[in-house]
Amino acid sequence: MKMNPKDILVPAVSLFVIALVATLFLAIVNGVTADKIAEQAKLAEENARKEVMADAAEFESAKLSDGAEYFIAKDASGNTIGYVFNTIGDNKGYGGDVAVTVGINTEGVITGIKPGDISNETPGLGQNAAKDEFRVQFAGEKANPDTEEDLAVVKSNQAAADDTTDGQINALTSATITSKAVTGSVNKALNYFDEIGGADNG
Amino acid sequence: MKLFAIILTAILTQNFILSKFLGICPFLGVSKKTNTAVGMSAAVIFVMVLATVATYPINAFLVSKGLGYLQTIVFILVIAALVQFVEIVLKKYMPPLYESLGIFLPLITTNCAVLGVVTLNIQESYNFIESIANSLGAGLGFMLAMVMFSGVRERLEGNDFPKMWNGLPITLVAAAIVACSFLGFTGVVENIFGV
Amino acid sequence: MAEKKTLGQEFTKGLVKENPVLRLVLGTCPTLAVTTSVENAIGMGIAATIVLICSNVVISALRKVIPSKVRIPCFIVIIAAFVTMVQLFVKAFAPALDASLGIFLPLIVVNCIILGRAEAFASKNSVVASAVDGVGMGIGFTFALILMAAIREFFGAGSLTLKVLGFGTQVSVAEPLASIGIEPILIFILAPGGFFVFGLLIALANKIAEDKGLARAELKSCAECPMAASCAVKAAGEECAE
Repeated sequence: MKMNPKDILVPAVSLFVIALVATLFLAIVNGVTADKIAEQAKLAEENARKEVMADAAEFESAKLSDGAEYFIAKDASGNTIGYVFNTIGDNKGYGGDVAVTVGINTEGVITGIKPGDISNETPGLGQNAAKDEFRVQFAGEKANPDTEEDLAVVKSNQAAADDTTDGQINALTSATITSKAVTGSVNKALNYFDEIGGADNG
Repeated sequence: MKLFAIILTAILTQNFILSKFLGICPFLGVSKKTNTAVGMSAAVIFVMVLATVATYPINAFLVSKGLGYLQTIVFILVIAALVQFVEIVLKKYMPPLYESLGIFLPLITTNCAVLGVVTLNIQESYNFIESIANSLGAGLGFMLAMVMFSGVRERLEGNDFPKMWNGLPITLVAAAIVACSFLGFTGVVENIFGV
Repeated sequence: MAEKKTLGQEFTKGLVKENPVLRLVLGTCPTLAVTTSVENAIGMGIAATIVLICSNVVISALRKVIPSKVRIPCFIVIIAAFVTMVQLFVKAFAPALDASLGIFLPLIVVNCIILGRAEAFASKNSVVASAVDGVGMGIGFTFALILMAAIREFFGAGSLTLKVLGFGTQVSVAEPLASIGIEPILIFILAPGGFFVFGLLIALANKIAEDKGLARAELKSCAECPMAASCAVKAAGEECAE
C-alpha cells in the first residue's frame, strides 16, 4: 500500500515539472520573437501595397463602413492618387480563402494586384496566380460603370490579353477555382471603391 | 449548406490522405485487410471529433490569454491524454467496442492526421460547428481512402511483381493511382454548392 | 543496434544504411508533402534536424530522471517545446518558409523519426552519442527529402529551387523546353506524383540493399516504432502502423 501513492506521484510530478520547464523556455522564446513576427507581417503588407501602387510615396490608413481597413495612396506632394484594399472575396480558392491586395487609382482603374498567401493552392497550377502573366491582366481593368458588372473569369483564352478593359480575365490553365477566387477578391475591392465614393474623383 | 460543403471537401477534394498527406503511416500499414482498415478508420473518426471538441475551447482560452504559441504543445498533450482516457473507459465499460477499435487508439495518438486536423481547424478560422464538420469529413475521407485502398491491396496480394517493386514500392504506386482518381473530384464541391 | 558502435558509425548509419526515410520508412507524411520544391525540402530538413538534435540531447541528458511510466508523454512535451521554438524562429526570420511548409512545421512534433529515435536511442545512450545519432539521422532525412524534391520539381515544374532560407538561385529549364513544345509533367508535383516517386526511390533503395545482402525496407519496423511497447496491434500479430 505504501508503494501505490508513490507510484503515481513520482511520474506525475516529473511530467509536470518537465512541462513547466518547457513552457517557461517557450515563454522566453516567444518574448524574444513576438515583435519580430509582427514586424514581418507588417513588412509583407507594406511591400504588397508598394507593389500594386508603385507611384505612391506614402499610405494613409482609413476604415470602411464594415470596419475593414484600407489605405489611401498619396504621392510625394500629398495628393491622393488612389486606394489600396486587401480583400477576401466570397469565392474560396482550392485550399481556402485567397486574400488579394488591390490598387485602384482615383479613376477606378486597377493599377495592380498581388495575391496573398497562396501556398494552399495547387503548386504548378493555382500557385501560378502569383506570376506576372496572370496578374498583369487585372491592370487597366475597371468596373463597368454602365452595367455595374464585376470582372468575369473566362476560359480558353477568350479575353483579350493584357491591359484592355474588356471586363474579362483569362483563367489560369486547369486552375479556374483559384482564378475565380482571386477575381472575386478583386471585385470586392472594386465594390469597396464605389462605396467610398471613388467615383466622385473620376 | 456551408457545413455540407466543408464535409464534402474534406472527403473528396481535399482528402486527408490522398491530397493532404496526413495519416500516411496507418494508411500504408493498416490497410492490408478491410476489417482492420474499417476498425482503424472508425477509431480515427472517433478521436478526430473528440479531439476537436476538446481542443477548440482550449485554443480559444489560450488565444484570449495571449498564449497562442503554446498551441502545439497543449494540443498534443490533450490528444494523448484524451486517447488514453478513452481507451481505459472503453476497455472497462464497452469491451466489444474496445476489441474492434480500441486497440488502434495508441497508434492514433502520435499520428499526423489527428494533430493535423485540429491545427487546420484553427488555421482556417472555423467556428465550433464548422470545426466538427471538418473533422467529421476528414475522418470519413480517411475511412473512404483506407477501405478503397484495402480493396486494392487485397487484389495485389499474390501477384507477381518484378523483384525490385515487391512489397512497399508497389503499394506506393497503387496509392499513386488511387490518388490520381481522387484528382478527378477537383471542382465538384465548388460547382455543386456554388461556393 | 545490439553491437557497440563507434561514434563515427553512429553518425554514418543515419545517412545511408539506416536512412530514416528510405530504409526505416519513418517520417513518410512530410516526405510526401513538402517535396514539391527543393527549397521546401531543405527547409523542412533543417528544421527537423534541429529539433531532432535538441530533443535527443535533452532526452538523453534526462534519461535517468524520467520515470519509465510517463516517458512517452515526457518525450512528447520536450519535442513539442523544441518544435514550437523552431516554429517561432522560422516565423520571425523566414516567414516565406513558414507559409510554404504550412502545417507540416508544427507536425514535426509527431514525426515518427524524432519520437522513434528518442525511444529507441536517446533514452538509452549517452548525450554525445545521441547528439551524433541526431545529426546523422537528420542529415539522412534531409538528403532523402532533397533527392525526392529534386526529382519531383525537375519533372513536375522543370526547375530546381536551390535555395536555403531564401538564399540561392532557381535553375529552370521550363522556358527553353516550353519554347520547343515540351511542358513539365505536372503530375509529379501533385499528390499522385509524390506517392509514385517515393515508391520508385524505395524500390531502388531495396535493390541496392539486396545486392549488399541487407534487409528490404518494410513498414513492419516495429523496432523503430515508439509505441511498440504498448502496441496491442503488434501483440495481436498484425502489422504496425506508425
